[in-house]
Amino acid sequence: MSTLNQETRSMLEDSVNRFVQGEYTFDDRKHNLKEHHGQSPDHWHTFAEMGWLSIPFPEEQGGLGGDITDTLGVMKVFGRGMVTEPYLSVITAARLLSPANYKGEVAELLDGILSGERQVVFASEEPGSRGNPLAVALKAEPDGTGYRLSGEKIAVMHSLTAGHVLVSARSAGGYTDEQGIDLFLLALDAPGVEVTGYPMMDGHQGANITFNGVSVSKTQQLTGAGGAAALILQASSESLLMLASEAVGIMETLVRKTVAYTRTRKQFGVALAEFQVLQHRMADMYIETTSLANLLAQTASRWLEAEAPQQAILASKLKARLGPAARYVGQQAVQLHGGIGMTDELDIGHYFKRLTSIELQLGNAEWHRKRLWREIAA
Amino acid sequence: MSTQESAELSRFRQQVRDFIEQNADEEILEAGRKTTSFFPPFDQVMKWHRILHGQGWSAIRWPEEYGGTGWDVPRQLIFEEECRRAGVPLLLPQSIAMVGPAIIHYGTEAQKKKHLPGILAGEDFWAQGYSEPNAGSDLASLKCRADRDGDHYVINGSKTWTTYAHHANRMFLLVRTGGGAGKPQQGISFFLIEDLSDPGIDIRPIIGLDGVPEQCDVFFTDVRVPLDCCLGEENDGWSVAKYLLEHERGGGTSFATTFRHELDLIRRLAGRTGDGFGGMLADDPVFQDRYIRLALEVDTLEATEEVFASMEKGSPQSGPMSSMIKVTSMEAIQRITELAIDVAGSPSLALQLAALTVGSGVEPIGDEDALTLMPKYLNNRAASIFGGSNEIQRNIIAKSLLR
Ligand SMILES: Cc1cc2nc3c(=O)[nH]c(=O)nc-3n(C[C@H](O)[C@H](O)[C@H](O)COP(=O)(O)OP(=O)(O)OC[C@H]3O[C@@H](n4cnc5c(N)ncnc54)[C@H](O)[C@@H]3O)c2cc1C
Repeated sequence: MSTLNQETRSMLEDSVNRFVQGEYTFDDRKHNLKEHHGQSPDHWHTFAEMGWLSIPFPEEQGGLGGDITDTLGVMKVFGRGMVTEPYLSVITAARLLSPANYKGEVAELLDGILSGERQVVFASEEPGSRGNPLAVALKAEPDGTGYRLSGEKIAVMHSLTAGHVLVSARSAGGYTDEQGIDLFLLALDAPGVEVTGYPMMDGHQGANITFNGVSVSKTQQLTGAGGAAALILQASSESLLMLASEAVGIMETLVRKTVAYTRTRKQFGVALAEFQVLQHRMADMYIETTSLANLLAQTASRWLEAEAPQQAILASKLKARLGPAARYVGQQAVQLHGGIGMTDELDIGHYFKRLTSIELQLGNAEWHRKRLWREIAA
Repeated sequence: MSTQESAELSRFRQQVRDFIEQNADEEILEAGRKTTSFFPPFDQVMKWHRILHGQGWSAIRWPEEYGGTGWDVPRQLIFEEECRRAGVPLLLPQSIAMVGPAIIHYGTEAQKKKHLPGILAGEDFWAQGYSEPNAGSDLASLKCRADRDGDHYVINGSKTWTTYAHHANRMFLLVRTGGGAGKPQQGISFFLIEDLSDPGIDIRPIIGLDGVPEQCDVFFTDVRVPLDCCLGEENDGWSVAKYLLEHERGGGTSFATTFRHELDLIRRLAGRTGDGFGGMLADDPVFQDRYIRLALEVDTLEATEEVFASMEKGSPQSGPMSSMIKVTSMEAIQRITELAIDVAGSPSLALQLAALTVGSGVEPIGDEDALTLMPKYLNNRAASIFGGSNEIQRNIIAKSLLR
């Protein structure tokens, strides 16, 4: 459960609610997408000022002393507002810099992140790696005193405003082996790093990053040689946890909005909500949403006692359950709105798209079910 | 085609294949590849329509006397298989498969003479003006009015979701001509509007959730049309509307053939997409099971389509059967597009509107076959809404069962 005290938590929740309701309306969001590709410097400044960027970092590093579960309230509200800022990406990447490596350049970077001046993201996924963060083919070959990186990362989120990237690379072992993976910190404008950025269908920014024999030194390596698997799994598990909370925020919003719409929209002389088939559909949307919210709450309450491998399993369970629930709720919200649900003008379609994107990111439900089976079978 | 085909049909297949190969240019094929909805890129699909017309092949299901091919069902199917194989776009349904058959069935000689040639030739494109903001599922509650004024009607009101109205030069329109008494289905007339450039008609495209304008709002202010624009009897347009809907729902094409093509695309992609554990998705039993289930749905759909193709339209059986095709075909394609994005995974999340535009020359990011998968998934959410939602189709089927 949470590390922060109740007072701090409700203060954070109030502030993030105020922000989304006051400055991140659907129209504001549209404007932000157009003007800032959904990653506004002003908003990021607000995030820092409000302390949201400091939540899951130790106090001695300038953080609030919370843990990852303390960010779930923020993510849920961000879900309601369909916030496209790089919060999840930067938080989960920055946590890899802390606390073991808190010295020198890394410490400086982390300070900059908490104050909102700098951003770092984690490049993990590769073509065909699906949700498996240990399926690393990108090569780290010894070269003098350091390494040369070559290979490709895809679906890297939010690198647009980041100065640095953490990249997983393999110096030894087979394709999905735990041993032999390294984590390097490098500047996104380092020679040989080629970034192809693109907007995604949910308004977020993505990129594919190619590493063409990029030279890195040993000081850029976050762990002992070949021993980064634990950190990488941590980033993946924490990202999944945060994503699930965002999804719950979206799904609750869709249930609420769909119920409200069917009460006002009339066809055949009655409100749509009078049709029993639609009532049942909404009951199912509610059941899916509430079940996922309950599973998330339970997962969060068990998170801190769990060791890293158990956290990975908890996260996989959450994502495997999230997939079909998000798909059902998103699709039915559109369906029950009829034609208007298919438009760019109404927010419903945008919630649906974000849910679809969440479903596919970091491994879809099918992949996570397979991972769970492998755990049981092992 | 897997089973043996008679020599005659094989020759026919070869003839179709040769024709397509010699006549479908790169632009048309690009439009085929970049089609992400039931409505392919307009300019290129109309170009293809005109090329087919040159060969006499634009209306494969029309009777010969009206310029159709007179082909039997196996030939129609072969033609469509070859079209999908080559990757040419599917012709737009509104003119050929929807208003055309309605004009053939209900039109006066003069109306047939006037409208059918332009439809066949692909010189005219007809948009469907049925739905209104407050008359969607409850179509019969429509309010767009037409009042007689001498030898004209004067139209006032609005339509919405009118697909490709911004490309159309013609529109078929449901309007209220009768008074208030009686059932709402009474007093509706079916109009054939010839001139969409009338200043009283205002057409505004609506951007869809895939980021592309496909539907439109259409506003009518004092638009004068001649009395003979009415198809069927005045105030009895509902019969015409329903007859046309059977064609719309039952499909003027073989959905099964089209969907098979989508499944092929997915299988190819799965064959070169990693499963995250070092294998390929195509070797994964979960993928294989989903794939085969969908392939069977498509085979079954084809069987139903064959029955429907030889059924008299407007009969007591054909209505519910068209609803059944609507439900099963649209749910099949929705599930197929779900499988597609599940296979493609996160690379399908990139928004690539420029690369999707025919002639843009913009290279896709990532696998070219994956470019269209997310737009197709998003766009096809409409498949259970348009043409009468699937809830409405199930109501129709249930009603006929409980009658
Ligand atoms: C992509 C697209 C293209 C289209 N193209 C055209 C076109 O070219 N021309 C044209 O005229 N129209 C077109 N339409 C409009 C389409 O026919 C309507 O959207 C459709 O009939 C549903 O109407 P509605 O959008 O008003 O939804 P509503 O009627 O408001 O329905 C909303 C929801 O309520 C459900 N519902 C309504 N009544 C009942 C009931 N009695 N029982 C159970 N559930 C019910 C519906 O199934 C739906 O899920 C298009 C629509 C789309 C999305």
